[in-house]
Amino acid sequence: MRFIVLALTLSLGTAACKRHRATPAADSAALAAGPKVHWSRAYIVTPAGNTSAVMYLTIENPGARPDTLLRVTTPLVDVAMLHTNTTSGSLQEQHGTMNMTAVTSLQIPPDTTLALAPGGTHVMLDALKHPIARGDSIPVTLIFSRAGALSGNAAVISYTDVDTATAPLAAPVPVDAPR
Amino acid sequence: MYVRSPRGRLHYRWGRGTIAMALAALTLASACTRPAVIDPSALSGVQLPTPIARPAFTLPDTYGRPYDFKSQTAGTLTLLFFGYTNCPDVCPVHLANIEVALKTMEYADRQRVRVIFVTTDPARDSATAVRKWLDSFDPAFIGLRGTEAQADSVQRLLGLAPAIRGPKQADGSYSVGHAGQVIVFQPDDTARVVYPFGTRQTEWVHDLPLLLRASRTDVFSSPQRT
Repeated sequence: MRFIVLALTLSLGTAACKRHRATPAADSAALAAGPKVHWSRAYIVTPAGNTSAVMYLTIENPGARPDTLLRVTTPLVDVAMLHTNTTSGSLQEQHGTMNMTAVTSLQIPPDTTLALAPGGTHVMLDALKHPIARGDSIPVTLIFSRAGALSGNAAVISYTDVDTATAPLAAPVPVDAPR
Repeated sequence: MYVRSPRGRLHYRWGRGTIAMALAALTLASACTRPAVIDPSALSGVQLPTPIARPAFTLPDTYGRPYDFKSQTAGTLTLLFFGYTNCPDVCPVHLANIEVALKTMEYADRQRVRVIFVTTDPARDSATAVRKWLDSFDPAFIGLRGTEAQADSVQRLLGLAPAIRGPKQADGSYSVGHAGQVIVFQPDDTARVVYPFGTRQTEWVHDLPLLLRASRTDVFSSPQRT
């Protein structure tokens, strides 16, 4: 009796698994979720006398489901980290300070364009493996929880280009403001 | 016009045309001698609630010489900024934008501007590192490097919160939280406006010549912009 129950359970289980995997029903479910996240306009800025470079880019999520940026990889560095600028206090009263904190992942809400731009969030590239020059093109891969690994290229610019090349300078996230 | 009196003497009579011309001449003359009045809302910077007088402090510059801020920048348009060379975007973007704007100025005006960068992270920013970093923008930018305590006291002098050194990461790196605005001391040795991070190149290009010229207290007497 136990053996029959076990056999039934196993067969039902595998059948269920098969249904969830690569059947046409599963594909249309994915399509119904909407278009995936994609990224563009990536710029790496040539370091100003030190060995760390910063990268800015734009992420678009036209779909109805959120996604999460988990990691950024590039042959240019061993580790790329995500950093966000936060601000506290009031500039007018001269007590405001801007601070940088590392974040482990980035939420991309549905129907949103997220700009990693100066003053906001950026990708920190520490210890460049080779020097870069304005005009270079660097391969970059962004890994999302839903969209997976998306590869492309970043253009190398200088700090004087940042004002006009990247998205408008972002306002830092106020730490006291409600999210 | 000249008129002849009944007795035959010539008198000068002020006609309407002459009065109008005289008034115009007086207006033009007064406008030329008075500095241009600047509407504060025409500037991109943020007005300080209370103007700050050019402070007195001395810190070593990147060549190791003592730099007496008050006397060496007196009478100039001074852009004072606190930061650190490992700062990824606030500091370099600010300086790069200022660099571009200064290049658009006439030679004579450019000579009246001083850009002073004070490091809030002397542990990592050696004088050489500051000099090399500043040279990537403009060799004329002045770098000052004192101790942490000295940098903190100068910031306090200006009503700024002293920089906060963040916790050390596994690789030894740390961030430095600091005031992101550039304080502008005008040629009359008073700071009335500050420029927060986010100031665009076009805004600097527009404002710098105005700040250079409008140096009397009365030009900012209109209601403050909030």
